[in-house]
Amino acid sequence: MSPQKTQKRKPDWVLLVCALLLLCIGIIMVFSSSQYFARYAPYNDTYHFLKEQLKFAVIGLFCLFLAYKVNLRAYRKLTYPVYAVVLGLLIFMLVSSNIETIGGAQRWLQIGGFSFQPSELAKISLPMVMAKWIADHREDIEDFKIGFLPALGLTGLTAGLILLQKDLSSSVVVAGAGVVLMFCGGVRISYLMGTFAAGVAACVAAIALEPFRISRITAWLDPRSDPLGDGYQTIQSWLALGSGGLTGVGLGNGGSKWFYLPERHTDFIFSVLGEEFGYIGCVMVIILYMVLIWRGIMVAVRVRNLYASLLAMGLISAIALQSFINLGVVSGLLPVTGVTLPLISYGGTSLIVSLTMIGMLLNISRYTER
Amino acid sequence: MAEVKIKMRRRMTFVLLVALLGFFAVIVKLAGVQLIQGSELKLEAEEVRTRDLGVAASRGTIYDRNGNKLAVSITADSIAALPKVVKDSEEAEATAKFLAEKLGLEYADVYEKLQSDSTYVWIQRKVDFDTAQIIKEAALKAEEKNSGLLAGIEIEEESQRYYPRNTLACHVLGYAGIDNQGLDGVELALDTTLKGTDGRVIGQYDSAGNPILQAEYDYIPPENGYDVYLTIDENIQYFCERELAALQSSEFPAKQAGIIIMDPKTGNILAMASSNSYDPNEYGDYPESSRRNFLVSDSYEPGSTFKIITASTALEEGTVDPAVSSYYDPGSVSVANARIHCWASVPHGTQTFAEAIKNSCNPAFVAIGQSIEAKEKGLFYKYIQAFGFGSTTGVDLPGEASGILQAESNVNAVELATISIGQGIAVTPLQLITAVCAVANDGALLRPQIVSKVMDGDALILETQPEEVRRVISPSTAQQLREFLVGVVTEGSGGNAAISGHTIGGKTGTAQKASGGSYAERKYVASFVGMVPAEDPELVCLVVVDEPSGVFYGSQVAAPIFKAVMSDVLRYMGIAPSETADDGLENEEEIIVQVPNLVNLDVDTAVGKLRSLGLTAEVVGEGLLVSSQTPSAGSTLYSGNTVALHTGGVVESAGTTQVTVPNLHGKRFAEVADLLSALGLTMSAEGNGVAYSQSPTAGAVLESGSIIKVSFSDEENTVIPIIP
Repeated sequence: MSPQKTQKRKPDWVLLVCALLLLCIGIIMVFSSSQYFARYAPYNDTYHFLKEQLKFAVIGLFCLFLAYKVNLRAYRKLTYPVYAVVLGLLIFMLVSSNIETIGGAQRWLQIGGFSFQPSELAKISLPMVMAKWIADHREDIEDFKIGFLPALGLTGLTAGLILLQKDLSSSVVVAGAGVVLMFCGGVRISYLMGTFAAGVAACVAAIALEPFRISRITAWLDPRSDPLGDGYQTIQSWLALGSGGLTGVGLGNGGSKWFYLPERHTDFIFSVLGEEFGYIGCVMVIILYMVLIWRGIMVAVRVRNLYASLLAMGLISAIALQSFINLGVVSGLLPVTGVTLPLISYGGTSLIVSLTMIGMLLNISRYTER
Repeated sequence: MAEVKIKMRRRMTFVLLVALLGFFAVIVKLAGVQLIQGSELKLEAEEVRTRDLGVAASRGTIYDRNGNKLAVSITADSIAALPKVVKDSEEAEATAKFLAEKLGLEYADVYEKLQSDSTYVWIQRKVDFDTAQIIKEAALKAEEKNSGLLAGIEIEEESQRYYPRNTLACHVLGYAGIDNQGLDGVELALDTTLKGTDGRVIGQYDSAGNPILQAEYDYIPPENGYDVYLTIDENIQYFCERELAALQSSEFPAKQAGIIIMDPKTGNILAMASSNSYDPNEYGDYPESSRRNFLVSDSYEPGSTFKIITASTALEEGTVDPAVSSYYDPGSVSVANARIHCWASVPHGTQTFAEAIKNSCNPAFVAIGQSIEAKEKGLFYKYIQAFGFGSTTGVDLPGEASGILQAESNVNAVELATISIGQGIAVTPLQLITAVCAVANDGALLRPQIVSKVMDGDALILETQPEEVRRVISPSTAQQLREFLVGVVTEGSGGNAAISGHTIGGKTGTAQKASGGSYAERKYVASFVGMVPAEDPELVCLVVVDEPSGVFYGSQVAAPIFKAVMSDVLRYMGIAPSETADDGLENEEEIIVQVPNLVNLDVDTAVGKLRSLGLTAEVVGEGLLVSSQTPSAGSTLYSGNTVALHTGGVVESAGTTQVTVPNLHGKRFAEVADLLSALGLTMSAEGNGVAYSQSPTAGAVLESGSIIKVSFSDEENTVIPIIP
């Protein structure tokens, strides 16, 4: 039942192709959406974000290859150290004064000339620790004390630390991946329902604690009620998407990026894509995500090793949840929250972590039963 | 073990289905946004991103009949502010203080404007070049130092009307306001012709207001205003204004005085001058009264000049027979219960019709008037109206009055008697000269015209033709009457108007001014109207002197002005003295000189040159070089006359003549050439059309004779002005 006993097969090429296609579309859209404002200070270079994203893509592909090559046993062995390091970074974020504040949240850690988001790393570390814990205690998983509580504790601790950085969306992604693993790992539905109820209460509390979240909820229900305030982003996103219509205005011809649409190369890059490639382009990209998620979950379903299966499920859940939240925000289905679109949005940490996760999935896909 | 795996697989498949459902929801939501609301959202987005900006059309130039520029459009800098930016700079107080000081405004007013809620406010429009330059430099320095002073202060280039001849023909030209809208004179009457149609730039802008250069622009070019050529002749106008100025600076100035000169064959107004002049460049500095064109807008009782109308009517209707009719003047005549005196202290006794005109005898003209009315009741009134009295002439000038003609039903014998001698009726000077022109033009009344043609660049849009309103009297009557009017000048009251070698027909007039229902003591309007050559008149000139001081008879006040003006005009027009002229005057020993070209000479040399020819110089402006002159080179003048020298903006330093380079941007080739030659600079031109760059730049000080490189571009290719 251990990985080494299973014969290694070829990785899931469909998964890889989907990921690479999304990466390429991302690089093109990062350039298209950023080229206008990148000419202005402080960048003063039309190609600034393209160059940066290409650099991140190269590093990310290297990490993908590394994650693909590393032996699965090594992941299992490294689980607790990795989890401890990420947890330490998250705690460090809370106490450190060496932080940048962006959009009311503290998310960035600066080391030397690099800055990255430790919360992104949690998208890898939590699936690892959850998969190990459930695999190690598979016999007692339905037990409240041995199966449920520690799993909930690991998830809650990680997501809670991220939430304390006022990064609700990453917290939701991480917590969601944890809950999916608890569900798939065999935790009783009744416990999960109870957790869900508690989670809803926690969400309400979180929203009540931070005033900026309330206004985002009302702006979500009716963006036109505050068109220049909290409704601004959704309205601008709709204007961009609507301008695209069925077929789009063509690559580079969109006008939303002329400072109208905020976060045009990061959180709202899909709006620019929708403007320039229309509904057809949007649906094609969403189908790529659906195929990616389908293939990712099928890796988890087919792999015989329980640890590997749960790790794959956790990783693909994080990717799926983050993609869905981003697309939901952009289309106005969900309230506005700052989350990038995996593999497409501009951003070093996000892209490198996403590609690493894909690498890990490809690694696991070699051990599936056909 | 296996059981766990099956349960896991079921749950994982369930997660997959939920995930796919979530993405499907996004696809459905996107269909709503992109397909159903798409076109609506697209319109909204375009509206937000698109801006429609006006591009001001250039106002047409006004020329005199010979193509001399009387009103042109130049560019001027206006100071505006973006209050939001000023407030953000936190230097609003310092900025307000600086601007108030440099622009000569109140600090509180400027500060209030900078604090306003509007996005854009004017601080001061059309400031002079030097002040704008100071503000530009200060803003540049402040930006370098990052001080925030003058942040949000914008300097906009605007078009401004400029009248290069200052006061010349001011009442005809009128003036244009701050937004280049015509407010008076031809500027107002032909506003739609001159102003053109503003163009538009429809372009896309980012949310910071920057134009998107790679986006498509819809450019509807402005249609520039048409150029208007007046019937006015700059030189004739100048002769008139010169004489009016001489009168007003003499020992006995009048309240106001005016001269109109017309070509009776075309109805063209060659000059229309009024002593109460003003400079249209600074029209706000003058009282309303100075800006009023009384020759068109005010009515006066014409007095004896109106006897031309009475005489014409009687001759045409045959109620007098010049060969037979005789009139006895005992010194006064009683009509009904009123007594009308003759002006002369010694009664004229028995006179022929011709003598009655010569003597301008009131009792005789009362009798002539009565003879018309005896033939047919209302006949005289019919002629008065046919000559155009009681209605406007239809000249292309604003504010025209129609005079006061009492309703016919109210007119009794006394009033008819006074109208016969030009009292009890009020006419505008323009109405009177128009009626006299009909006599000069063999009886056909023409509409007086001030516009000779309208041009769109090189294309002729409109050329005015003589417009006959109606035939009033027959050619033979007109000719007969002109012969009698010659007698007025050769033997009668118009002797002071006689010009050696020319047959002049004319009539003097001295009317007492009515005030408060009775005739004012010692307030008169003296006038003279004359035509030359009397046999076939080419020119008609009316001189009106309102409330002269000292002597007040038309013959003493107005006739000499007619002579002074017309002597120069006849020579200027090349109207040769007629051999048959019998003016009863000895040819005066005056020397005729030709005016030399003085443009670009320094003022001292020009004055010296004029002095050596026996001419005097009148220097207008403070520059050192002559930029233009009136009358122009080649005109002939009697020695003793004055030539006006207009000087440009030239400064002197360290002994050599130094010239400040003007801003040539937006000027046409010809304008630039004129301007630079007036400043003594040499132009090295590149391209054709409108100047868009120059080297050295405006404000540089050069020695005269230096070369300025100017690049021109065709208007079609002109860079679209983008105002963020």
